[in-house]
Amino acid sequence: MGRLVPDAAGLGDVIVAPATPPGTSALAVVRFSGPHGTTLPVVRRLAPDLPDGLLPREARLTEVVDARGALLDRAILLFFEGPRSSTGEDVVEIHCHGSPAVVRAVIDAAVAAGARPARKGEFTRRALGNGKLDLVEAEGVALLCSSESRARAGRAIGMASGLLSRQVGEIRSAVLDLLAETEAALDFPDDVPIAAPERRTEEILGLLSRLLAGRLVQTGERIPTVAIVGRPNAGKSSLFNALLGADRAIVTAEPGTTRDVIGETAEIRGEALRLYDTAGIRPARSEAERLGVEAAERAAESADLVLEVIDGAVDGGGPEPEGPRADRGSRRIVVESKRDLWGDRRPAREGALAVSVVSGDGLGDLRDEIERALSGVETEGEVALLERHRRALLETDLAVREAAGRSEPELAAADLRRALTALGEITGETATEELLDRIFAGFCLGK
Amino acid sequence: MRASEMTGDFDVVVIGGGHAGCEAALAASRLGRATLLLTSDPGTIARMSCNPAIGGLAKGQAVREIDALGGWMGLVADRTGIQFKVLNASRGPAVRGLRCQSDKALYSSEMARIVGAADHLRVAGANAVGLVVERGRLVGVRTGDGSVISCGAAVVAGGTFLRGLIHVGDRRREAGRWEEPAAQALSTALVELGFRLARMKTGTPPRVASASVDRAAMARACGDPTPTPFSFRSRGERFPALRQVDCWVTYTTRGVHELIREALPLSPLYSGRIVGRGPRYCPSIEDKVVRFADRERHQIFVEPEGLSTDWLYLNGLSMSLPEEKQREIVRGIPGLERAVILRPAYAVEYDVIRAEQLRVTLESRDVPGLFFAGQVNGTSGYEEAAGQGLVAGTNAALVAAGREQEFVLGREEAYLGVMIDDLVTLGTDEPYRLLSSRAEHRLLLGADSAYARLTPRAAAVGLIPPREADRLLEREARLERVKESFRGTRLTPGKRTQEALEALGIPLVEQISLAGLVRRPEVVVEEIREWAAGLLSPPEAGELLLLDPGTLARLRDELRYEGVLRREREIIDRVSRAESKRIPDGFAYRGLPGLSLEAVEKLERHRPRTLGQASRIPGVPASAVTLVLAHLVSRGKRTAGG
Ligand SMILES: Cc1cc2nc3c(=O)[nH]c(=O)nc-3n(C[C@H](O)[C@H](O)[C@H](O)COP(=O)(O)OP(=O)(O)OC[C@H]3O[C@@H](n4cnc5c(N)ncnc54)[C@H](O)[C@@H]3O)c2cc1C
Ligand SMILES: Nc1nc2c(ncn2[C@@H]2O[C@H](COP(=O)(O)OP(=O)(O)OP(=O)(O)O)[C@@H](O)[C@H]2O)c(=O)[nH]1
Ligand SMILES: [Mg+2]
Repeated sequence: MGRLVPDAAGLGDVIVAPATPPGTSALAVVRFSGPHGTTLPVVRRLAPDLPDGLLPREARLTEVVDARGALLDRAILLFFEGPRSSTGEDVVEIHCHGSPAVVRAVIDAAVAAGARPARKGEFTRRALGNGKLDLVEAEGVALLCSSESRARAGRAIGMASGLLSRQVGEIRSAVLDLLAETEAALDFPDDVPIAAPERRTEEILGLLSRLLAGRLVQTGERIPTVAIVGRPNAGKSSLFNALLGADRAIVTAEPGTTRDVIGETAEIRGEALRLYDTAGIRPARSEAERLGVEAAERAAESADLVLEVIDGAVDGGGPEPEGPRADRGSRRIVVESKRDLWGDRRPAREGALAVSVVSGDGLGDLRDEIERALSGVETEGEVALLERHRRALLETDLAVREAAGRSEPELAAADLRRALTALGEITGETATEELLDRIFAGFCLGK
Repeated sequence: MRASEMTGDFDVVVIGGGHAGCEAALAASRLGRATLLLTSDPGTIARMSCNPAIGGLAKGQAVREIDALGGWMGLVADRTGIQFKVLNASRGPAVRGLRCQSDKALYSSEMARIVGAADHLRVAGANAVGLVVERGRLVGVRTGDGSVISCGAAVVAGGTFLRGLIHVGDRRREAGRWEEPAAQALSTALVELGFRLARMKTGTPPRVASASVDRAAMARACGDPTPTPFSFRSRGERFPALRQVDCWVTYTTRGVHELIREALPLSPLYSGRIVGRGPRYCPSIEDKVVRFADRERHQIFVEPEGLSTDWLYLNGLSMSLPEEKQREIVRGIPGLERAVILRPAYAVEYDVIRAEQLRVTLESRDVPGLFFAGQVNGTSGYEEAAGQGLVAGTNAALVAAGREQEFVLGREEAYLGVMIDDLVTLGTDEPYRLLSSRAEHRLLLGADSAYARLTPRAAAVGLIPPREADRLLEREARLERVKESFRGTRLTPGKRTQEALEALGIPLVEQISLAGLVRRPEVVVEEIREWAAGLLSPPEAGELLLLDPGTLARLRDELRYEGVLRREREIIDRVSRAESKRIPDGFAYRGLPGLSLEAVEKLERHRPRTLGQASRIPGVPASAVTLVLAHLVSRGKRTAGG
């Protein structure tokens, strides 16, 4: 056996931290986590009237006191015995009154009783270490905690709840089955006929494409971005102002009015987003315009959502501006402008949403569409993905397709193993340093 | 040598003169260590306990690896082989397997001759009954007559002999092989030292008299018209050295299956009398009939055990039924109706040590200086045993010489590395056999690349004399140069080249490199030299002409698979950087935030050497490994940053 005395940062300690955001609220939760048998003794010093036979998952009303016995609050206490808890350790939650002063006093008292203030991400890390979370779920939790917007939180839940992990697991086991058949035929050529793999391959590719339809979620604190692009004079700036609810961009009847990217924070259906107006895209006539067009293209490429405005008052609306590439996962909504000028004569173009900033027609629908595109309202079976998940899934897809095209089973087997490696990178089963670099860049672990 | 003469000091003592023990003793002595090979009966050195064959799928690769590392199995197999065949010959180079039928008696005597002639190596006929450990280290081996041979390191290579128990129906007797006494005391000694043992079983089929077999009722199975040798060292010798012979194929019938099913209650395996775990991959005929109940027949290879023996080996018919039943079953098979059984099939149960107690050097974690190799580690097969023997013997010699250096093969480097890593990290519950699917980077482990992969490693540690390694590697270097010249020579569809190539049935439509041309499926290896020489510069063509036919085939294969191999290496780089990350000895898992107690205990028990090993320990969640990696990475950064 190694050393039995745990070191300061190590196994033996009970950590404590507020589990609810700072500020005044009706309730605040202070959470403790420690290895089996260590959490309750610490908590008992704060809540001396706690009964001996405390049952897991039973809510108890109790007095919380400080080191000198002074009453801090009357609070609800919940005990979760490891491993059936969020971190896999013994967890206690104290639901106290939501005043910053009370929370601070309870934490101080907890520290005096032998707990240690948790470092950032430490609860998540313990859950990870106990196998309570896999990497994807931990990422989801981190995202959930940092999500200011309801929409992003909605998407993070798919990850945190293990939905993505489960689906990746399903693909993984299908790939493993296929690999096992291929391998068996190689090792025991006399006994095992080479299986016809088409059906399995199709199944795997089907599962993959379902997952790949998922939306991209950004890590970090960024709010979603929406770029308005289109030909000159299409009505972009007018739409920008209408969505903003303010006359921020200059509007004239002259094509080429907007020369630069203008960004403003807008609120749509209660969600904050960053809206960009851009220069109309056409072969540039001056250096300034060329730079403007380039900036417009960049904005479109990096946006989470692109509103592509087609001029409804002009025949054809001109050639389509170069769209952002689909593999980035950005979405687009096609808007046909100036509905008041043509709306009674013909229907909107196929796939376009008719809008008029003059009559206000279609603006409500557009707001709904924008919200839907950015939100985590998942269509059935759809799970949100981080960029690195998407990359790994694309790599899996490629590898499985290559395997299907091979005539030599040993090469197919190598492709399938590559697919497994890529899938493993999603859930952390294949540890690569690159994977870690990517994870630690976006997410507080391992400090 | 007599027991009384053995008391002199040795650096390394190897216990057991089987396939593992021979390679171990040869390796240790090659490193200049005074080595003693202690074996119950020097007359049974390198005896082939079971089938008269060396190699096969994955096993053939292992033999090449042993050869590339300076071991002897390949050369002895070449000298004593009576039929050579490349299995899976129509498949890619990574999954072909060279196999030969051996003359058992000659194999054994040739290996014994080599062992007897080796410098620094002595052979003694005696039983090891105990191990002497002082201050936690192995310091000596005790023999049956009570004397102690002191040594710096010992390798236990006792095969199936540790408390061996042979079953034929309900008859059993203590033996390690037919009529060879089991080793009882050594097991006890190991238990006393605190080793955890397990029980395993394996079986061997009946042998029948050649004259009693009706070949007209069976199909002939020939070897390859041009036999391929295992060893690079047989190049200078006549090969094949012996007359080549045929094998025969027959099949079991439904009637035979019925007989077997009826007799199952008499099989010790099914009546529960055998407690040891048998191999899933080399099942007995009882197993096959039960598990594949819908199969109409099973293939039986009838293989000669040698040129000057009447014994035939019935490959595929291993069982442990009573002798009378065996006779009925054998005689139910076409061609064997009048077969005379010379030795019945039998099963053997024996002790193995749980290999999780070993390090990747095959040294015990708890008793430094004590090594284990071969069947005693839970494997099955001559090749597996020999490979472990080589690694254990080398490391034992390094330890005995007081050197810090360790000889460890990686999973992406050799099948032998895969096997040892599997054994010491996963352990095994059934006799472990090498399979090509066990090697995740199989494409890189083709038999042909063994020398390029391993000979430099062997030379570095002293297993192969530098001159010999140079000679070997010169061939590899030449092949590389020729490949390079093929890549660099671009062909334009000019009249002359076009005509020349069309004549060979290789139409040229666009500019292509010579390498690209060779990748075409219509290319015939034997013709490459003819047409390609004229397209290369004279010095390049000169090198091409120096390639022997085998190397020429490699030229084609390696150019053809180049892209796949490159990608395989990229993956290894990506994954292996993390995989092969060393976990420092004595790493404090307990200090690591977030790691569960269960994971800590598992990791402390296994003491994985690399992160990859940690990730393969059953019961350690991937996330725990991620945390360890995270810690190693961040620590690395901190130290790098000052
Ligand atoms: C009945 C039977 C069936 C088998 N079936 C198969 C099969 O189906 N497939 C397969 O791949 N392999 C099979 N084998 C296994 C194959 O024979 C072994 O894998 C291989 O021989 C192992 O080599 P080894 O060097 O580890 O041990 P062995 O070849 O068993 O050699 C051990 C040597 O050590 C000596 N020894 C043991 N204890 C002592 C001691 N205390 N002191 C001194 N000397 C000692 C013995 O005399 C012997 O010479 C079978 C073996 C047997 C016996
Ligand atoms: N009738 C009507 N006119 C509109 C509507 N939207 C925009 N317009 C007019 O179309 C012209 C161009 O509008 P802008 O918003 O400046 O167009 P833009 O796409 O930003 O143009 P550039 O910045 O030059 O690329 C202006 O005269 C607007 O008044 C609409 O919904 N109905
Ligand atoms: Mg504008």
